[in-house]
Amino acid sequence: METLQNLALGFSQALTPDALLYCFIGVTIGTVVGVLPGIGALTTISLCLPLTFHLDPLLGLIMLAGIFYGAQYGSSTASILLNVPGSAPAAVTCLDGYPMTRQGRAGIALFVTTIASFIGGCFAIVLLIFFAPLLAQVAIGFSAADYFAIMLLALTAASTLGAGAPLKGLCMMVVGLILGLVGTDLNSGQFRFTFGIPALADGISLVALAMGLFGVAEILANVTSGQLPVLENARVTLRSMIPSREDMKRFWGSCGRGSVLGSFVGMLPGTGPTIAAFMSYAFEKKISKTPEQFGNGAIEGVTSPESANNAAVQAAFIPTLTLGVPGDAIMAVMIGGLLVHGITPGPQLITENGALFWGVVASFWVGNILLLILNLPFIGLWVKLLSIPYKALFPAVLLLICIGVYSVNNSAVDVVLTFVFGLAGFCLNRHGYPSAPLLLGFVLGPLIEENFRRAVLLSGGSLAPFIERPISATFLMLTALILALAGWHRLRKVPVKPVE
Amino acid sequence: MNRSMIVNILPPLALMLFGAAIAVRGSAYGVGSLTAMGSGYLAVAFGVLLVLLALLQLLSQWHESKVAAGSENAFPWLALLLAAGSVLVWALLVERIGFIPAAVVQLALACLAAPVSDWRHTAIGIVLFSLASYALFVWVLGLPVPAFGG
Repeated sequence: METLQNLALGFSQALTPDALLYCFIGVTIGTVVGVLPGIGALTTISLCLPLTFHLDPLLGLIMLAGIFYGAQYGSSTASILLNVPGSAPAAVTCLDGYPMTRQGRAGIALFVTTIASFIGGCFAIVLLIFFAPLLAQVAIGFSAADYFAIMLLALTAASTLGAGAPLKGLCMMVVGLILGLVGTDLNSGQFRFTFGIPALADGISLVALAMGLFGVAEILANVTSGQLPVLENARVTLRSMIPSREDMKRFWGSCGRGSVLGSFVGMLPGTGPTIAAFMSYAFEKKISKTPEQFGNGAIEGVTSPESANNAAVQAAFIPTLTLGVPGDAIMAVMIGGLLVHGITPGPQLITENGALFWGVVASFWVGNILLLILNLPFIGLWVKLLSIPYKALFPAVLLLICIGVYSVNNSAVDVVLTFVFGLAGFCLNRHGYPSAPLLLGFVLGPLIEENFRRAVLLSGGSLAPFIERPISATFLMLTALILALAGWHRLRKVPVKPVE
Repeated sequence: MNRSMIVNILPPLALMLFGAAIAVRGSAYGVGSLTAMGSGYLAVAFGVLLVLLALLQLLSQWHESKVAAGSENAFPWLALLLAAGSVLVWALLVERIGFIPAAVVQLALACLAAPVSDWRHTAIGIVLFSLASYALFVWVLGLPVPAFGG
């Protein structure tokens, strides 16, 4: 009954003309950037973040979230038609999506992808509705030591599980923690690492860092790769999208399994939609009676990862909103957006900002239905969009990045920092150092410092609470386990699946 | 030691140096103790941790027989310089010569990073996009930058 009341409250927020408009803007932008390879949801969310500073926090979050899950829908279009993933999670869709295009089944691939994305997203939203309040209730009893341990686990998991080389991921995480120290120390008022630059007194701008590491670095990688994607002879009509009875028979099971697996993976810190998509593909292939069809246009190879990555995206909001612990870089930016408005995500969010929490949840339903409409009847439009040459697109995106970063504080120093982070990110990525742990470390750094200091202060300078409290001890043990596993993988030279 | 080996050990070396610099600089802010942490306590801790992790990475890279073979000779340095430089140039120009000229210069530089087939259309596109950006961000969204001049 209470859940229904909460949902009614959410829909009363999400169905206002303003909320509908921003949800529509968000999912449309998300679909566009998802379709176009080489831009990415994180760049776009960072670009739009300054715009949300002037909005009501609910509208801002609805728009940013819409971009995130809209991009998951759109990114499969480029994977299926071009064999170029619009985003990292859609990379696995290339494996069977592109062979389907070559077999003249592009329309069916796009149709089942959209439906699978919708089902995966909806399943995770139901989970969010029932699971988030329970988790928030448990988390109310968490102490500073517990929060420190959870954040450490999230950082370690994201740095070691999500990156191809765990040690490199850990290095980047620590760099992020260090960059998070720049600015005024809230305890003493002392400036740290500002080097006399007033613009750094409030710390490094999150937008400048995210845009540099992901926006500029990604564009530099594409420009220097010498292989800019080009669309050839793709024509998709509504008639060509109708699947056969046999297709649909194979669709339901794989879509259901992908949704369940994706939701579970999405809730775990440090995993995200890419791992969910790859895991569900591997699982589907393993249980298939015809594994030889995978890689040659198997419909399960498209539906399972697509439902999984969309489920993971929605499920990622559970730890982000209820614990205040982001699972990946995009969630970290979302948290940054809320913090700007003075809203701290965590267990109190549901009770203190119930309208915001349930409004966002309700907007997910609205957004997923809008995406269904955008991605089925208007698929021809997105296919046409793919014909825009990348060489015409990236100079404009670079200008938008400059303007977006500048507009946050009206500071040219921030744009210079974006240039520095862009170059540094490009160089480090080329050597296999992932950017996501750095951004996560940057966002969680101040929170980790605050909780560590508070826990130690409350215990009179003792580190005992970290291992005496069952919650923090459990999370610290999990952290140690992840580190040990990463070390074991390294020693045995078992490759860890890369994410970014 | 071959060239690609040097290229591979440069990032961990740079990270080690960065970590060491942070630890040294952080210690100047006051380290304190666990009961009374100074502003530099965690800076020193993170700096030292980075040095150790980067050292481990350096050692593992050193012992790796399989060294990533990069095509460093064919690397398009000019494209990189133009695309990245366009961001820096915009930052340096926008408050000195105004929004529209800075945007035109940035777009022109970035366009040069990829082969341009039709300069006339590209030039028209650059001017139109600069004007459209000005209209959207300055007129509509109120970004406080003049169209021309500082």
